[in-house]
Amino acid sequence: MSLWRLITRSLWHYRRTNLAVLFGLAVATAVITGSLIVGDSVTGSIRDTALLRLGKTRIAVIARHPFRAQLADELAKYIASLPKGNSQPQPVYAPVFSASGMVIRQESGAAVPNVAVLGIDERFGRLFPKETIPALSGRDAAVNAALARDLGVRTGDTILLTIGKNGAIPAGNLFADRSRDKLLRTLRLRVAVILSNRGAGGFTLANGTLPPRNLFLANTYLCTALEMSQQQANMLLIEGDDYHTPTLPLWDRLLGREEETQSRPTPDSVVAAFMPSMFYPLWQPADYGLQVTPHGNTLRVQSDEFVLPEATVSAARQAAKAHGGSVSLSSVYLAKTISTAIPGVKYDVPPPSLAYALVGAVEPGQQFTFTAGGGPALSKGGIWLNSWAAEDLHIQIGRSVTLEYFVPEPDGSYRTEAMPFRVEGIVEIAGPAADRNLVPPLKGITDTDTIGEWEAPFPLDMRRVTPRDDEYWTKYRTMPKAFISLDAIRAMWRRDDPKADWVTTVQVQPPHGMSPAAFSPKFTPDFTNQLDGYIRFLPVREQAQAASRATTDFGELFLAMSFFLVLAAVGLAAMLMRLTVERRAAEAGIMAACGFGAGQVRRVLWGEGLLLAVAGMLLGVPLGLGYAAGVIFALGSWWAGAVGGAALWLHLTAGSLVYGGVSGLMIGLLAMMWGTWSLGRRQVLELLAGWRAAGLAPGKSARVVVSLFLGGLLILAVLLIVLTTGGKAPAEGVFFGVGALLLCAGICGGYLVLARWLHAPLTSPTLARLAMRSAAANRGRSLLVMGLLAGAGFIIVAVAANVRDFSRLDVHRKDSGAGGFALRAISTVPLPVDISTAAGREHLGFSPEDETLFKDVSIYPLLYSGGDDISCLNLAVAQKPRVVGISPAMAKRGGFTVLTKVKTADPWSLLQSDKAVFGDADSVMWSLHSALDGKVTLNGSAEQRDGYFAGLLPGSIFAGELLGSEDHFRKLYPEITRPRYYLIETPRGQEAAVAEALRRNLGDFGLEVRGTRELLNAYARVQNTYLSTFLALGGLGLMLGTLGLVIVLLRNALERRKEFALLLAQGFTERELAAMLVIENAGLLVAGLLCGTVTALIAVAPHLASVSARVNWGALVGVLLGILAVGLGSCGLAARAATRGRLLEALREE
Amino acid sequence: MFVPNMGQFERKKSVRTGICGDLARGYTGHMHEPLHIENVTKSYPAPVGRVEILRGVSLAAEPGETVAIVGPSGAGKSTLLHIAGSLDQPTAGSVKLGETEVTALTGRELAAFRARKVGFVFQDHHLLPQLTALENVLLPTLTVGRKADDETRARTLLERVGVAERADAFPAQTSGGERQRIAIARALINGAGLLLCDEPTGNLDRDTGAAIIDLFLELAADGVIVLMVTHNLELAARLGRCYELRNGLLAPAAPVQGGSQ
Repeated sequence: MSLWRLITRSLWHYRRTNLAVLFGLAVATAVITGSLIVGDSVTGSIRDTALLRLGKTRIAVIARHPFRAQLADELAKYIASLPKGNSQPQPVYAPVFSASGMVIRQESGAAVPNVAVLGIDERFGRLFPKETIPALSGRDAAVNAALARDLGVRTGDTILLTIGKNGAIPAGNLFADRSRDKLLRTLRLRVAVILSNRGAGGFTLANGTLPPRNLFLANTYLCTALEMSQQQANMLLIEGDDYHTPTLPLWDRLLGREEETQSRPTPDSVVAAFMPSMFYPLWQPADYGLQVTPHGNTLRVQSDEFVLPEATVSAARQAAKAHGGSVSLSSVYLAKTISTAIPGVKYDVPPPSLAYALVGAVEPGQQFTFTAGGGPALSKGGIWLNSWAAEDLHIQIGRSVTLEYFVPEPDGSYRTEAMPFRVEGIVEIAGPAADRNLVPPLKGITDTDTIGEWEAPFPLDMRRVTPRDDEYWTKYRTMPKAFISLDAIRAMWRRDDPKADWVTTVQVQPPHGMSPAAFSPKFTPDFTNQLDGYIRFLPVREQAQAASRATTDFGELFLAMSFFLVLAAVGLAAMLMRLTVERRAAEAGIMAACGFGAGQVRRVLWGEGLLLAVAGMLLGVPLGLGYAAGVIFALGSWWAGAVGGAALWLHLTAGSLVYGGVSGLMIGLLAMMWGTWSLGRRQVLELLAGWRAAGLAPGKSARVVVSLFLGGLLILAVLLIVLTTGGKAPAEGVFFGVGALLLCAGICGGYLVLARWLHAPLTSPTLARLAMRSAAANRGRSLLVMGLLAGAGFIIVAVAANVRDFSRLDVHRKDSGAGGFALRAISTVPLPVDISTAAGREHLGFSPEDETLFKDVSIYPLLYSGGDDISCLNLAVAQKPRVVGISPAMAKRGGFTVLTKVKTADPWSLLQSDKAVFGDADSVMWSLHSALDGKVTLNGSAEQRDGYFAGLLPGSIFAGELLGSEDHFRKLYPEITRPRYYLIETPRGQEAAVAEALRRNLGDFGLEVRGTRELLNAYARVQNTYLSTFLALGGLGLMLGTLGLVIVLLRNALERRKEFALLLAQGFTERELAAMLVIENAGLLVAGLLCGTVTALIAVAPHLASVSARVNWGALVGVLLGILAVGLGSCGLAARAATRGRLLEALREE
Repeated sequence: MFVPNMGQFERKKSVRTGICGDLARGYTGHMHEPLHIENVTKSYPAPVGRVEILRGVSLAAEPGETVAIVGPSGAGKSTLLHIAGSLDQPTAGSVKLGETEVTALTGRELAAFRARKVGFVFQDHHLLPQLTALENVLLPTLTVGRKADDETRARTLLERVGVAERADAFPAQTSGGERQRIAIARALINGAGLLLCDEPTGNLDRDTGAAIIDLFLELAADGVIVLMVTHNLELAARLGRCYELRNGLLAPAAPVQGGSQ
């Protein structure tokens, strides 16, 4: 005889019960392990998806301005010329031109906005060695499967791509093109190949789980189509020295081989940090859209954007200073007219005037030659005319002239402003006054032969152009006809925007004695080196890996959602263990009488439990794989809404298997310890007598403790309401807390009622009273049944009632999640003019009929950065959250419900603070893991800025993006000057018509118009799917719980067979006995279910009262009735089993 | 107060005769020791105040003695037996087995005491259903450390109590008398000198009950003290001494015709 034999004999003897315990433990282990594997799978799938999309790309160089594609070759040559530390092959440097466009399939009319258009060459394909990407040429395009599916195209089909032309001049500039024809280019393409979304076809640098819509073209063709002077790129992909293998076999992963590939000596972020030093010598000013050209004894810095951004001016100043040079600024503007006419005075014969004359402004000190007047510097109101202009105007020193100039309006029109000047000098067309390069090159203007050939964005009235004007243009081209002070010209540039850039040329003077040619090699690299934010070196693979952590730990999430299932499984195991221990109390008693110490007795039971737990673990871990596979399958099909349609597949790590197994083992041991715990507290005699009999009646002290606990729960519930509301309506969370407290109170109440029934005299016994007494006598089992049903009822009702549907939401209410906006639109190509005005719409081609529709429509255009979606629709961690710049008009309008730390009637004014950011409350909490007043880092294209959440918007349409002030936005994204994000207020009932008009008129800008209800429902769908998932897993738990319930009831009934036999002998019929059992258990079931349902309804009352509540009451009642039916069926089964057959034998045993 | 005659038997305090005794002692190597129950009282709290079940009971038994205690239900017979076997604690008084003050033992000492010196036989045999007869007998050996000859001794004990052929049967496959005999063998496997029997024949028919008493007498001949609680006066009379427990006090029981030692 040995302990092992005793344990194994016991296990075998009680094998039926033990099998049920084993089942419970295996299920618990399987669910825990499976949930962890689901977490691994989500993380692994996000990582694999991201890395597959990047191929061998390790670092991406992103430029705000297109650069020469040739730079890639230069870089390769440069790297090859460096002394090599090893014999690694030369990495691939793939230049890519990336833009956004809209693709249409004419046959079906299917249109897909926001398509990433990528101009590539064969080097891009080398980043994806496992794929065959055919060489593209001409109009052949490759589309990825996602785009092909949306368009419904196949290889060989023809598609139309509308793409924004690379307009270099920012919006708001006088010379910026604002006509549709100038900004858009439509290309007819042939689908040559459809690429898989996994791999090159899904290439993107954004961290998102949904496949992008990609269209690939030969870069040569794309650049030509966009009228670029040479092949250009705005992205350079640099190959890494290893290649991610997502299909790595399971065992390789378990052996940590993946880890080996990740543990490279130099992190990409470090490599990316030192890369600029390698690049800058190669980067030419043209690659920044700048020209640094020698001119006379100066170097001249000009920009493709016509005006130089303030940062560029500052960089030039610093670089010049660093090398002993100095800078002077100059600017030009176009005068509509320069006239001697006095404003407001009517002339019979118009006084002489100059049409479309360029006006310059330079810093004092230039060597002008004056024919009259003049001086070292101009006063603010002074003007120097060149001799040609003076002659045309017949003007003398001291006379006044009026300078009229265009100011571009946001709606696409140009208004004319006037500025009076006093003539202070007449300059000869020589020296600085004969500088035709003072005006930066303007395609369509500076390269034309006559004014009549100008392709100017502003209106040209050729009637006002005299032959003299044309003659001047032919002879002197862009030489300014007049010079004004820098202050005056700055005022012209900043007429509407006090922060507008205005410098058009920076003249760099080399140190004394140094020629511009000699100074340039010193100045230029230093100058470009200081241009922060133009080029960014991103360790994209590292970022993708960081993003793959997932916004939510899906392991934890599914563990939480499977909580009820785990609880039911563990509860089943523990309860069966406990019942077994109860049944074996006398066995423990005789062991104690034989000299076994309490510890030794426990060891025997624990030994059994340990073996069961180990067996449960061994069985549960493989079952967990199946569970995870099932969940992953469900997330790809029925529950796809929970992950926003992201592709997921099974991933395993040894850690999850070990953690899952060990957790299952620990839970099994805890369940076993709980099951055997009370054994150690019993006296040997109690055990010998059978412990159930010993512990039948609850002591008075126990009743007092439970009563006090019940009172405490009720007081807590009341306090929770009073303290958290301060007289106002309690929040949903408070109600939920109160409901949960009342649920616990209900179960405590059940205990007290049962205790009371046990002590109540049974003077006139009836079947019902006998049933009540019986329920009271078995109060542990009774409370278990009641608690299980109450818990199940609570969870099911609370979860089912939380389903949200915004279809009935009044989006016109300003305090709703839609903020009063019925529509939201995002354009692929920024609209060139302000769509919120009638003139702007007219400019964009809206018909007068459309305008009638838009009469009461308000549109708020907002700046929009694009980037990573921070809503629950994106599983990956957003590395570069989307930002919307809130315009002053929008901030003034307000709307939405904004939760703020500071009490204010105008919460939107908080955005004026430089670092203040607003965000959707759920996205901030779950995706960014921050809170009100919490920190947030914004990765703009120019800089990275830390901010804080000054306001949170609960349940808003801004779930995918962060909100900042327009000023804040411009610091982050200085290159984004035109809005792409539009919030649209419509009169009730006109949403569809307005949306249709917008799509019809702005379809070629890739305008995507969505109803705000639809948007909110898209976000709610994720939550609703989670609720469905929770219900489904909870339902599984309930099934398991019901199985446990059947076992408990059966066991209870069978244990009472002697009691029933006795009652039978006393004259009761079997029918009456069965009825008594059914009354007893049905009462408990109904009481439990009622308790759970009522407390859950209290918990979700505020939500039920809201318009977004969409409770399927029929289904809910059906589920509850189903539970009741299963419970009653269990009772019937138990009653039948207990009263059937050889009851008299039981009596004989008694 | 009646004090039973502790010197009724002039035999030596230690006895070394008989096969069972040899077997039992062979394991522990110690001599059987006399039992001294002195002035034991036991009371329980009740709604009407404390109820005294035993009111200063004293009893002495030398090795080889057989003592029966009879009395009405609820008189405290089993309580006295449990106190003697250390399963219960007296409110006052002491129990000594040899030099061991049983009432002073706690925790592991108590378990060790029960393992080595006391054997229990209950009305309900309390055999472990998952173990065979032989394994049930061997069960207490787990508490004192296994020996090479455990199985031999267990088989010998089973043979001695007359159920050797049932060694490999499970309790469910044996009769009530056989179960009780197996329980007696189990009580003796660790060489207990004190056999405490609580209604051992309560569930048995007359002949089987008589056979069990025969077995007790044989064991006593080996030096084991047999202390038996029973309602059956006829069987009680067959034991060496017979006392009646009434009103918490122990008194010699009235002689029953046909009773003999």
